[in-house]
Amino acid sequence: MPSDKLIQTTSETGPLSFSADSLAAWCRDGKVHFYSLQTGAETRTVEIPQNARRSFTFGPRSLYAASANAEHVIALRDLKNGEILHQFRGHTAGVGRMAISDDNRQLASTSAEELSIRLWDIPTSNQRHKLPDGIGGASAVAFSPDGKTLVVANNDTDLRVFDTQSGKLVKLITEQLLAMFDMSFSPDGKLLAAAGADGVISLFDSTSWRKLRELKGQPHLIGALRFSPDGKLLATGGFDADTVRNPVKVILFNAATGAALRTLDAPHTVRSLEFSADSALFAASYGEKRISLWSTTA
Amino acid sequence: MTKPRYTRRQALENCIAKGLLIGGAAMSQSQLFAAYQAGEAAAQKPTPKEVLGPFYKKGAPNNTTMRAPGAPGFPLEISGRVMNTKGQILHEAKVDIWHADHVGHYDTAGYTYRTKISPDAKGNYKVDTILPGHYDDRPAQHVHYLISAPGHKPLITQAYFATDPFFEGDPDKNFKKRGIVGNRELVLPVRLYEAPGTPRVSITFDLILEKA
Repeated sequence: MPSDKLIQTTSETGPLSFSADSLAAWCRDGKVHFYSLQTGAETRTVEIPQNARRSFTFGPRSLYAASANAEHVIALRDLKNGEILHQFRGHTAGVGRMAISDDNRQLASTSAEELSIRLWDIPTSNQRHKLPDGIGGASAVAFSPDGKTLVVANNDTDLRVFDTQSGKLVKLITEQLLAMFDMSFSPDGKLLAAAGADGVISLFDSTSWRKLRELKGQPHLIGALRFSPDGKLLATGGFDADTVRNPVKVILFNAATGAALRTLDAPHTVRSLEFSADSALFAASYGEKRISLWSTTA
Repeated sequence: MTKPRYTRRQALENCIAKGLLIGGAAMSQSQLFAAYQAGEAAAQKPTPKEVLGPFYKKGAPNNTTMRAPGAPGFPLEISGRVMNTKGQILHEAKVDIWHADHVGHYDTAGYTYRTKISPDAKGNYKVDTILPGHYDDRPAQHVHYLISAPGHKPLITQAYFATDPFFEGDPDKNFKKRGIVGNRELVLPVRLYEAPGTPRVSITFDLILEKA
């Protein structure tokens, strides 16, 4: 495996996603670019049409991607060739944050104007539930690894936990004073890590939904957060409250002890942070024509 | 600064007394006054909505003076009424107001330039603060609002300043610049007062909610 390196890109980078041998990045040129993990070289691109770039999310292992167009229709594309596999119709206003479940069978989409969350069955393209959201627009969306739970964070600072089968609100978590900007489940599904404008990682028990503990040490607000696939690490990417142009820190924590294992520099607010499947690498994008790829063990 | 000579009530009463406002049916003066005022109020449009943004913080103190003595920044007074589209006063409303400091920084650690207040019995609110600064990501000065009232839809909006250099002296032409401001109505005229010792500015921003 390579040690720390920069992958040079031809366009500014946004969301990232690892597969077994490559790193995919949605870029500002409207294409998904794939880079070899061995060499860092670009291997291929998939175009997302001009009118379908308003909202974008990768599915697990960058097999699929969902994006919404100006008519609020969401398309799920096969990232092997860009072919549209499913379309999801129902939103009447702008689509915001979205997420795809680990088994690629469920899609959650949000709309700040509609004050709602829609849960779609991917194989049939049918809307299964329309769920009530808070008043400020969704700031993060996460499925539990088993797909049975959906958590939506809202800019009004509340977290809503839904049962994806029944569509019932299982828990409304209101204790946070500030909004959570990203969330990540531990791979065993027992913990939900959430972080945002308070710069602290909050770890919630996914049965009681009580906050178990907090991990501190990120000097900025936190814009991106991920559990490693082996569950041992948590990475946070800084979010600068004053301007996206200020440098920030990326910090790798031991998830069990909260110890900061690596502290790295990013030139701007981190847009996306992802681990490779073997937890050996993690990557950050920050709106520049490059991606930082770091080893977790250095 | 010249203040209006009459309140709206006095002006209407004068109109009725001088025969400038005449009832279509036989109406007493007070009926005529009430009917006209109800009709006028019914025409209230809801305040345009804006996004909440990422820096809302729950639990702000009830504090009409957000500006600390000697704090840097141009002193600003914001006042207005809180009502619904029928003109009914919403004195039970809760009004969260927050904005960046004079250099464009939001206080996420504490509650500087954050307050949660209720209007008085007449539906008026007033806060003493400073003009918010500019920041790169949203370079028009703005004040955030979240208003809730029983029986009404929550209102999330923002106030902007017509004097902001962002509008280049022509908000009518430039309010759509960079897609930041959603509605021209939210760019408010700014009054300058020469208060003893320090000049200060004020804006009036009425908050009009829709019934749920």
